[in-house]
Amino acid sequence: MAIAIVGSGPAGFYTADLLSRSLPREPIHLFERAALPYGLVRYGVAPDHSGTKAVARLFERVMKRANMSFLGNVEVGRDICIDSLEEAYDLVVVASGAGVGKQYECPGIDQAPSITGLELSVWFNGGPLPGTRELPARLDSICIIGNGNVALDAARLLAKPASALLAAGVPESVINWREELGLEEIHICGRGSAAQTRFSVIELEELDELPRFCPVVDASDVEGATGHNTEALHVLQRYSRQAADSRAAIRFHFEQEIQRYQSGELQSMQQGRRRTIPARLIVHAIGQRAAPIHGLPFDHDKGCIPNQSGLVEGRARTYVVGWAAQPGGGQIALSRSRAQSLAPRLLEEFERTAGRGPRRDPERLLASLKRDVVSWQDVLQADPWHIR
Amino acid sequence: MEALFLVVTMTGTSEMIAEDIVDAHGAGHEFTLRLAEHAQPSILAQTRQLLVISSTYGTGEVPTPGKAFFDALSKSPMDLSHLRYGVIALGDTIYGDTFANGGRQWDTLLKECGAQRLAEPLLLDASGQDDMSGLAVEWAERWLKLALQAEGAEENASSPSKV
Repeated sequence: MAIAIVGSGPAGFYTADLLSRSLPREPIHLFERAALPYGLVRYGVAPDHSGTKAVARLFERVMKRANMSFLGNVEVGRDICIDSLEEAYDLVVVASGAGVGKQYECPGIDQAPSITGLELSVWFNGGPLPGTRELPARLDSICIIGNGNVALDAARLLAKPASALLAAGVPESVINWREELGLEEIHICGRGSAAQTRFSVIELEELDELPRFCPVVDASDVEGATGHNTEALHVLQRYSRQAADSRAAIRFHFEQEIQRYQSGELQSMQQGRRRTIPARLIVHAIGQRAAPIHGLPFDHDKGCIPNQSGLVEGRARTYVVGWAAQPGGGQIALSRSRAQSLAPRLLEEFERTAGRGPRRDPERLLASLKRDVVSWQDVLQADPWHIR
Repeated sequence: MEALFLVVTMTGTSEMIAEDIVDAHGAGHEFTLRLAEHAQPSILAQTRQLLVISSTYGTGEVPTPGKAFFDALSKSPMDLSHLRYGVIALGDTIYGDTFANGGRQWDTLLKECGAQRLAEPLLLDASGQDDMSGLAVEWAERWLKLALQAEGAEENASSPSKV
């Protein structure tokens, strides 16, 4: 009897934690598409927010339990199919996250050099840059589309001094790219008002602590702005009152309806008035969705794997948890509470079906896998997070 | 010695630290670990030794899972003069002034209820390079010593005829 968990981000690890406590004798195999564990914690949390990444120590602790195994560099749906997993495991839990950044769509935008906020975060965190992205070597302006913390993280990483990035573990090649750009302004552009953002106060205030850049907000954008996020609005109002100095600008644009991209600029409308926002590179920071997994249904509208209280539609023993089941929320703690909600059902299901019917031996399935599977031992020896 | 470990956590780190303390110092004692979301203030009526291990949410708030417990005790304060406590407060110095404020709020509330604090709260910084678990285990050793001393003194006072 054994359990497969697909994905070693927060949803996968919180589920593994709960299941391995309740079923200490059942093997639990944690599959990960990347070579290294922790998903969003490693790649989605900005490299300079080490406190948020500290939760990895809890995950590391889970891996010390005797019934846990890690299988990195194995992509379910490509290297191993869902049907094989269902044949070999009594329970399959998909926790593959929402690892795809959504891209803003408007006429001409496919001509623009662009990257998603998530891809930028992965890259600054030492992960790979997708081969499809060709970033300019020199540019004076970047436009970030989106009014959430991913947008603020992107702005901060693009503006922070090289020394601070180096201290945060950002690869030197990435820092060098950033340093050579000749970046003079960063624009952050959103559809809602200054009171309708999803900015957190802490991320917003970090933008005011940069030696080479300063936040710039138009007074007309914050006066009378209405919406739920009054805490962020108060910070933005303070920024609107600050006198400009010699630092480069991180300029906020609110209530923008972007019409089209043309030759390095975004053309938009703000309350009926035409605006032009320089955008030699566009960073899409408008949210994330799950990646489809071959063999499982996918809801393209919601960007998730359709399920009934966790059970994947059309499947008998495959469940889905975390952002793959329900994108959004954006907090590691939310993955924990969702895993806690699903765990009783998983345990019940495991009790009900465990050991029933002919099963393939998981070990034989694993033996048929490609050779370059990354074990936990490999992680402990190669991962900079574990060599301390 | 019997003690209640009240764990108030968003991401599970406080729980991990509580478990590390139980592993390190639990032998010979009865430490009961309870998540705040599964407990109510009435549990404190029978508790003599309390260790709160609490993280901080947002800008200095008590973590959401512990909010109901905290608010209930704030609204209807109990007389906790029978109770001795310690606090381990987790936070992130990136939050500046509100660093570890979740745990500090528990400290203030327990004090207001008349409980007796055994030691200065331990503040742990997730952004720091320190081993939070190691520091907590070290601190808990001192807390345990003080708690045992206090219990011993109380026993002597209540049974003076004992030789």
